[in-house]
Amino acid sequence: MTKLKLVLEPNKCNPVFSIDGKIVNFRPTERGAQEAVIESENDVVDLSIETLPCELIEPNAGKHYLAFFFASIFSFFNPPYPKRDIFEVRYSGKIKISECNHLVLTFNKPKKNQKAIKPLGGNAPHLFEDNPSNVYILNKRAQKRRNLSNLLQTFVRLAVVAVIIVFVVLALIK
Amino acid sequence: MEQLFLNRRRYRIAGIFFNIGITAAALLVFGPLIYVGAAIVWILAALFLFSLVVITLGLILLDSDFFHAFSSISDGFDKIKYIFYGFYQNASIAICIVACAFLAVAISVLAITPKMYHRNAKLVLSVIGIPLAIVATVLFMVVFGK
Repeated sequence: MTKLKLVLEPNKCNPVFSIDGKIVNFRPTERGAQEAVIESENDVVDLSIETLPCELIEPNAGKHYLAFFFASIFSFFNPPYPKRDIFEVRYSGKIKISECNHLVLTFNKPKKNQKAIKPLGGNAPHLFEDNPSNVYILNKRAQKRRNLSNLLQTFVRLAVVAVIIVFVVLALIK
Repeated sequence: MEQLFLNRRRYRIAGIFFNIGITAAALLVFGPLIYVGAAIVWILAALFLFSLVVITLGLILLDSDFFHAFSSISDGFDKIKYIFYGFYQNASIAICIVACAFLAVAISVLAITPKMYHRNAKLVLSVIGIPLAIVATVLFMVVFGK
């Protein structure tokens, strides 16, 4: 039985880690990081790291968007859809636990075709530096929908500010 | 995976409640600042007009219409004060109820949501927002005598 310790430093991404197809459950540490110890019969395991797709392209996104649109008073109070969510990560690689049994990882700032996962402390950089799947992929559909949503939100906010100004001016004139 | 989607949706719902609640609380807490801001803008505008008046002092002395126009500008501040008093006299309790209810819902939803970016900050602001909104409302009631 071999043990692999995975540490995920604080970051803004919502990654899903799976080892040999099983989702890894992290537990928070005292200094804000997340930690998981994985036990495996095999010395070489498959590591897969994926990020959640943007809320605007997930199944039933249209229905959810409409519900949030009206619940947040025409998107006025809707929290913004984060820019990092339009970038996706679909990393897959193999780890030899006897060579590397302690991985400390973090995520780089999302940028198109840039390296996504960064190992810290110099442990097994070859696993991530040379792996072509370790990149941020820009989801153009999500980007388009996010831009539209932001445009609509800006328009609604400007309209509300204009209405308030008109009301104050009318009250002053009265 | 489904659970993660659900958590994210739950976090958005909490975010909407938080945004509405904190806006209402901010309206109560920073209301006096809006009033002070309006007063400062008015004072600056009045000073600017006064400097014009000083330059054209001769015109005031000669033209009574000009003097009337200047005195009517000073009514603007009273109107701003009237709008401010009217708004908070009638709506402070309703805004406080909205702020407290929405922030309470936000706290309860955020408490059952796993850690996400800015979650703790929203929780802290919600917890602080409720007593601040109540204190601001009580102050308005004492000041405006309602």
